Amino acid sequence: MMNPLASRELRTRFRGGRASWFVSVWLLVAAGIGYLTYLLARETASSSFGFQFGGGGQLAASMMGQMMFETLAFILLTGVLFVVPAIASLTIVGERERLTLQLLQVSQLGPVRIVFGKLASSLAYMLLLIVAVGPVLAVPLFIGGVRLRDVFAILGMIVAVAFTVGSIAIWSSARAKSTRGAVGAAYLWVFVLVGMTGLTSIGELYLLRGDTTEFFPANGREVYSLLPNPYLAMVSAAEEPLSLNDFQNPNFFGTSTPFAAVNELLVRRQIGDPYRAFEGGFIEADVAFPEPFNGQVVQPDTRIPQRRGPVWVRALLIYTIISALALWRSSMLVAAPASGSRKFRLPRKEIADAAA
Amino acid sequence: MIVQMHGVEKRYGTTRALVGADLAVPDGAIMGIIGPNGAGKTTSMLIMSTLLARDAGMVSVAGYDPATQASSVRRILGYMPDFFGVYEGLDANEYLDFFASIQGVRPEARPAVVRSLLDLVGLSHKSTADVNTLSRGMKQRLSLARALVHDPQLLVLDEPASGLDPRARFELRELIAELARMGKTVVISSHILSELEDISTHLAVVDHGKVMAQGSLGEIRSALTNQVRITVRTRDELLDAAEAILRSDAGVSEFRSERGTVRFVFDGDDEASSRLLRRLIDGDVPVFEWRVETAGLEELFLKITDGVA
Repeated sequence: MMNPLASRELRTRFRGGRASWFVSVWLLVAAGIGYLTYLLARETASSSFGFQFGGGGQLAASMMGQMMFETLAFILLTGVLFVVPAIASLTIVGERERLTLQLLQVSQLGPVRIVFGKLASSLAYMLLLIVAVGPVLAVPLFIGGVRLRDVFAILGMIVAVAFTVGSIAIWSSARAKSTRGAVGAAYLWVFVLVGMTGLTSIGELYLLRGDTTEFFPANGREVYSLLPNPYLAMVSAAEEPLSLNDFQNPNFFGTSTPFAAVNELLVRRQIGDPYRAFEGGFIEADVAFPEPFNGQVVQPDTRIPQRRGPVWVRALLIYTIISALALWRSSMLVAAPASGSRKFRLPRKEIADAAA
Repeated sequence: MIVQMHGVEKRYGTTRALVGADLAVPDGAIMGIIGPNGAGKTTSMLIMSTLLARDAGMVSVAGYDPATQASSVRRILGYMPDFFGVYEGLDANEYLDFFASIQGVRPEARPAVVRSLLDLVGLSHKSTADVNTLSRGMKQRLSLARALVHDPQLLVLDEPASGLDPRARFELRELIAELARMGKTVVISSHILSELEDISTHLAVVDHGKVMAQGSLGEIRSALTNQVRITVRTRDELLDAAEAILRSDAGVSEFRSERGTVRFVFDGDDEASSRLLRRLIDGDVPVFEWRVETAGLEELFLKITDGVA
């Protein structure tokens, strides 16, 4: 049975024209971006392979499909990171400001159901937006270069990120005294998850570089501070590595999609040498390009640890822990009577006087 | 006793909201909690309604502790705060249906529950109206219906008549009286004394975080004072004779007479005042009117809270 809180919120949210307008605009923007990406990808494919697209170049089509999918996935994840905190952070503090939180607290709904109801209503809206762009995401599938399994893996990771960010935003909402404070805190935590992990990784990379002259470590060690990063998690979820096709241009600044840049920055540098495979990890260049290309032969790097689990599994574990903690704290904050309040006792004489 | 509080303390920062408060609400009573703003009325209600943890003392609601057995207390308690709590975009039907659902009312039973409650509070004709468009009086009645969705045994109403016009107040009072007739125990707070005087079977006077007095109005009155104001109407030319008889009684004070009417304060019980009346009649003073006025709630309240600081 659906959580009554989520059911009411969804019903009222989709009543009236505001929601349908927002979904329409969202779809138009997604379609527009999809079309622009298509044009860009077609141009890149044409120039990279030296012939006009349409001439039967399977590799060109594959590259085009990948580019489109990567860009759309990148934008979708960015959308999730912006939209979910905005929706979820208003939920509990909104009840408090509307003076309806007490009415929920005194009902048979426990704090856990209140918190999960709020989370479910926030995520349901986001899920609708994700599902709505499904047709746009399907276009690269038809063009080629993208596996269905990877589409689901990427979307699954986006949903996992949405759940985590939603949980953090619910916690911010439960703690906040005003909507402004709740939204600010939620976006601050998103910045920590995305921006701070990126910035911290620079320091970590510096420490890892050892005595090599290169900034990035060449020994294949992982950059742990990047593990919670949503973009890294999403990239690693794909079985067929994304944006590894740009063999002629290994410098990430030269790659053509933002996803490729993230991939280069956050993933490839972790193995030190982008041309080497990483067994047990998430990059297997020979899967993407089983045949040597442009005379370069991909060789596995035996120096890299073999039993390291996929990054996305560890990212999911981190997200599970973050979400569980955030939701547990939210439940504590929503519970009534508030638990953990500091006890005080009057001196006995004062109690006796008051009673007298 | 459906509600019992003993030695309850609550502090907000450095402010003591409740200091050793004791309260006992009998089953089926309409218990009015009166006191000035900041006296501790709402704090007491929040504690018994499971919404606030006490710092010390004992609280029992139908045998359950609101702090540790909140779920059991919530099953038998309906709480109406001193604000409405609006959800945008819901009509009265949906509003009550939502609260019925979160109170665990089965889906198949909800339409009938909602219908009967709207009937009870006189809002059947507004069942499809957006709750935002209802008048304040209607919102208060809808709030009362909301508190009743799970058919609770105990109703806790915090300042329900606050901000209502006289007609809406009257309607709400009638509704509360009807609920009491249905066997509900009602705990109601107000700082408007006359409201509670008309409706309550029991009263608790709260001030500075303490329950200063409690019981039925008669019990409180007799515990505090036996004084009554008596007005006697007789013939104008017999005023001196009447005054002589009345002044001879030790219980009479604050004597005033003018144009055939004598007013005085009498300290004594009903038997003593009856004997005084007999002495007037025996003294050949014709008594056209003998009116006894007991102390009103306001007077009692001032007497109880006098000097408390």
